[in-house]
Amino acid sequence: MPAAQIAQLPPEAIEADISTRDVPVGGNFAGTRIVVFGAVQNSRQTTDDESPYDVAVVIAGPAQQLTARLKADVAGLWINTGALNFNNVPSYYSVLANRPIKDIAPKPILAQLALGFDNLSLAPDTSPDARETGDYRKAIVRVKTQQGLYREDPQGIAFIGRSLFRGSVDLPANVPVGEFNAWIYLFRNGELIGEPYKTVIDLRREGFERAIYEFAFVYPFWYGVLSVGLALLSGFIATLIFRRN
Amino acid sequence: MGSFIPIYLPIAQISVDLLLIVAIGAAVGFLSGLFGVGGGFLITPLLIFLGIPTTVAVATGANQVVASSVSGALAQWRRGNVDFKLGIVMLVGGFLGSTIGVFVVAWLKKKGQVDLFISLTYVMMLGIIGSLMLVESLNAIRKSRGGATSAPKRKGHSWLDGLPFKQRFQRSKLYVSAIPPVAIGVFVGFLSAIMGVGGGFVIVPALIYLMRVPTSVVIGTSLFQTIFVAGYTTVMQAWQNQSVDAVLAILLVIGGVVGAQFGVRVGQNLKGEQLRALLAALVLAVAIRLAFGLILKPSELYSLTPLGG
Repeated sequence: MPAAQIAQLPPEAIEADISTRDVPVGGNFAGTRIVVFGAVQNSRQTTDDESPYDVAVVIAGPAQQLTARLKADVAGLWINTGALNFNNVPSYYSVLANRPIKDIAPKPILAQLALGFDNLSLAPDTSPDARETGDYRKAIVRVKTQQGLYREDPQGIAFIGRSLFRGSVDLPANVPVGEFNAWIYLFRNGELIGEPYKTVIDLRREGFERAIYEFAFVYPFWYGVLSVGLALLSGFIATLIFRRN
Repeated sequence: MGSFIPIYLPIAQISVDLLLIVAIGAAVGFLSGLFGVGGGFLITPLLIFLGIPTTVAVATGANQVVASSVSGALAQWRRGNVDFKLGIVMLVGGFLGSTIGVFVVAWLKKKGQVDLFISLTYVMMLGIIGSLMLVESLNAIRKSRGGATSAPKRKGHSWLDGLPFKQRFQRSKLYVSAIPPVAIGVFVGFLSAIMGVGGGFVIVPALIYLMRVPTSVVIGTSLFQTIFVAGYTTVMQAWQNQSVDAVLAILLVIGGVVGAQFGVRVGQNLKGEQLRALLAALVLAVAIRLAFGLILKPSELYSLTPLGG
């Protein structure tokens, strides 16, 4: 198509939604599945099989402050010897895409969007040297991945037909509560097209779980007293029940 | 593998299998009923091996000790085997020791060395006590096979007689300084906070061998003291460090008190020396497992904690 004609085409954009924006977390919370779906508006795709588009979805949990510690062998024992504080680490981070992220767009764009494990901006509050910082950053990603909290799925988004796409991510049981941000990006030929779709998913502690958690932190003394009281009571009741002899 | 009923522990912040936890509580309860011990020294390492954060394991272990000590304490009290005055003197020391211990735990958390310190304390204490117990019980078994029974000496002066602040402890038929029981109490209270144990391991030998308290009164007095000090430790840990997980605790307690009842029944059919030898073997096994945890290179050298924790 001649350039003049291309310029007159209506702009492409993402139209999308997610399956749930409100997740109550109770005592038997075993995780939850978030389904992401949408379509490319004004798609320029002409054939049914080759899609020129790439879609990437990021779901990030609330930021947390953490200390990363490194063990070393000291006199035969493995002891924490090094530590680095990080102030702005996503407590949960999941990327879905239809292709590996690094193939979708060039590094500068990915870095700007903080898209992908390699592009997360994890900044320590003091900087030793670049290599050590890099090791700590990689460790954070590695440990979080091992805990099931960081995921990269380069085949997590599937295109259906000419413009529909769909993907899902399973939030694990140990996911933190709070406000999660979800972004859906549309790319074509390595370029970000239009504005990303952005929405918020709210994970709230609910019911009994929430009562206990708040009780433990807001009234810690009475929480302790209650815990001991229950222990005494249980021991006492058991004695009564089994007092046959 | 059967059904996995997940239950999310609010303070430990991990999901565990509900039935597994109750089963662990029952198993440790059984052992504690069998051997007549609080069980904290088994629960705490087990929880650590399961992946529960060390400080939560320790605080919840102390909670467990309270529950498992109630039956035994009540039984001994009904038989008049508790020297309340001695127990109170010890538990005053226990409150002090526990307070110190709880603050030490908080300080160690900030330094990132809490796991190390608790593990080392465990390896040391369990190693020493386990070895001593093994030697003592094996000797007792040999002696009993030879027909003799051993009882600790009650007569004779000891260096304790020279200490001030003497008190009359009627039930134990003792007139001795209050300093040793307070000192024992402080040490045991400290251990209770650091290790999540009741401290019976230290109290019972100390009362028998150091203070020459009659054997009949030792266990009851020890249990009496333990309930108060472990209870105090639990409240302090919850209050200062927010490390008591009530959901975990109640599940363990339910399993524990039931298991203990069965353990007591089974224990009545075994000879004292045999039980002690078995217990010594178990204690040493736990100590060795913990030591390996410190010595072997971990698969992941990095760990993440909340800021400053």
